[in-house]
Amino acid sequence: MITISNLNFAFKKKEPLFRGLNMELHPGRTYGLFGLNGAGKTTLLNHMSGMLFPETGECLLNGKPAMERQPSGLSQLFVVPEQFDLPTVKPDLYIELHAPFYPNFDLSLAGELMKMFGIDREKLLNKHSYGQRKKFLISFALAANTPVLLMDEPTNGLDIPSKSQFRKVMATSENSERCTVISTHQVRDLDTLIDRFTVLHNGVIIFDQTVQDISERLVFKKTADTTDTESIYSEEILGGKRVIAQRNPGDNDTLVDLEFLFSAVVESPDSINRAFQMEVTS
Amino acid sequence: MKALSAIDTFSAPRLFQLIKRTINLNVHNWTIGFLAIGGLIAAIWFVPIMLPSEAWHGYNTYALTPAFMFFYIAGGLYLTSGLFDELHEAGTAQLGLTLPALASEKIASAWITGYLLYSIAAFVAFSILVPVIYFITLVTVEADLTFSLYNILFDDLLSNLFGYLLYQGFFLFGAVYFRKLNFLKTIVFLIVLFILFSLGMGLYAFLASTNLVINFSSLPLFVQYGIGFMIALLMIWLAWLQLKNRQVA
Repeated sequence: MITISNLNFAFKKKEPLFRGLNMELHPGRTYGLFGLNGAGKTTLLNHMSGMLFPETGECLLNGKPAMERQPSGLSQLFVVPEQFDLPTVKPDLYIELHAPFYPNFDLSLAGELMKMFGIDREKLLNKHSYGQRKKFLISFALAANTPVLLMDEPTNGLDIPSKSQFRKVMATSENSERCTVISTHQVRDLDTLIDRFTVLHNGVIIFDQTVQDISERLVFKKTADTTDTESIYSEEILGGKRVIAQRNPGDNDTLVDLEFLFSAVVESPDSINRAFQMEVTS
Repeated sequence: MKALSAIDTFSAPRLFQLIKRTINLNVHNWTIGFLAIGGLIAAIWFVPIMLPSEAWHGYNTYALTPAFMFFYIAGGLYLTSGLFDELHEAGTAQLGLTLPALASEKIASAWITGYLLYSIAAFVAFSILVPVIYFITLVTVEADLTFSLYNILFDDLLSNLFGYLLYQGFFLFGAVYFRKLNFLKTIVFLIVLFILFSLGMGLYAFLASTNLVINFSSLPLFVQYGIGFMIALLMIWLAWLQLKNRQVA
C-alpha cells in the first residue's frame, strides 16, 4: 500500500532528517508513528501524501510515486493535518464541494459522525473552535472511506471528553481494508487504537512491532526490588522501579505500556530489539 | 451527490467541480469587491454632479469606460493573485495540495474562473450598473444625458480582453510562485522583466551599431495578438509547472 525505500531527505543540506529510511505499510492495520519532537513524523507523513519529494529513494503509494500526486492516488488517501484552517462555509457545503473527489465517500456516515461529535451544521466552519474543526475534519476523513488515512497528532487540541469521543469514533468506523497511520507523541491517548508501534528516531525507524508481538515478547511490571538484573530496561519510580523484561514461558500477560516502551526504545533501542530477535520458547 | 471518477487524465467533471469549489469558497470576498468597485464607479459619476462645477463627464455614460476598464483589469489581476492563496498558508496547503485533481485541472479552473467567468461577471455587472446610473441621473438631475452602453462594450471589448489575457498569465504564475504579497511581487517581476528586456534591446542595438526600435503597435494586429497569446500561454505553462512541483514548506 505504502512502500518507502531508502528515503533520504533534508531541509538543510548538512542536517539530514531521513537517512536511508525504509518502511512498508499494509492495509487493515493502524500504525502508531511515534518520535520525539523534531524526529520527522510530520515530514514522513508529508512524503507519504506526496507533499514533499524525496531527495533520493522513493515513496510509493499503491505502486506509484506519491510525489506525482495523481488523482487515482490522492482519491485513495486523506490527510488530517495537525494544524489546519477551514474555509468560511457551513459543514454541509464543505462536504458538497469536496466529497465528490472521494469515490467512496459515505454521506450518511459523515452525518452520523458529525452528530456523535456534536458539530453544529448551521455554523460556519471558521467560526467553530479549533477542537470542533478538528472533529469535523476527522468526521470528513472517516466518511471519505479512503484506503489510506494519515492523521497527524489527531488528539492535539481536543479536550478530555473529545479524546474519548475520538477513540469511540475511530473504533466504530473501523475498516478492515484501511491503512491508518497516526503520528503522535501523546502515546496514552491512542494506545488502545493502534496495532503496530513504530518509532522514528534520528532519521531511521528504530523499532517497528505489532502490539500483539510486544505483548508476547515483553512484560511490563513494577517492582520494589532495586537489585533486579533481569530487566531489559528500567526506570526509578517512587518505591521501586518499573521494568520491561523479556517474557518467559509461564509469565502472565501484562498490559503493554506504550509510553514506557517508547522511552525504552529511544534510550536503548538495541536491547529492546534484541528481545524480538530471540527464539520464543514455549 | 455524484462521485467523480478518479482517472489520471484530464477530466471535465472534475474541472467543473473545481470551478464550483473556487467560486463557493471565494464568493463572499468577490461580492464585496464587486460592490466596492461598483460603488467607486458610481461615485466617479455622481460626485462631480453634486459639486457646483460643471461635470467632467459631460453627462455621457461613455465617459465611465476608462474607469471601468481600469477597475476590470486591476480587479481581475488582484483576484487572480489570490486564486492559489491556500497553497501559501500552512493551515490550508495540505488540504489544497492533496485534493484529488490534476495540476492542469487546478490551473485550468483558476484560468476559467479568473479570466472567463470574471470577465463575464464584470461586463454583466457594468451593463447593469450603467443603466442604473443613467436612470438615477435622469430622475435626479435636469440634464441632457447620453446613454452609450453598447459603444462601451463593442468599441473597447477586444483590446481590453486581450490586454487582460496577457497580464493575467503573469499574475496566474505569480499566484502560484510567490508565497506572500504575490500581487505586488508580480508587479515588481513585470517591471524587472521590462527593464531587462529594454536593456537587452539597448545592448543589442549598441553592439550591432543599429538604431533598433521595436514598435509593437506598428505590427499587424493579428501578429500583436499572436505574440501576446503565446506569452500568456507560456506563463500559464510555467504556473502549471510550479504547481506540479510545489511542496509544503
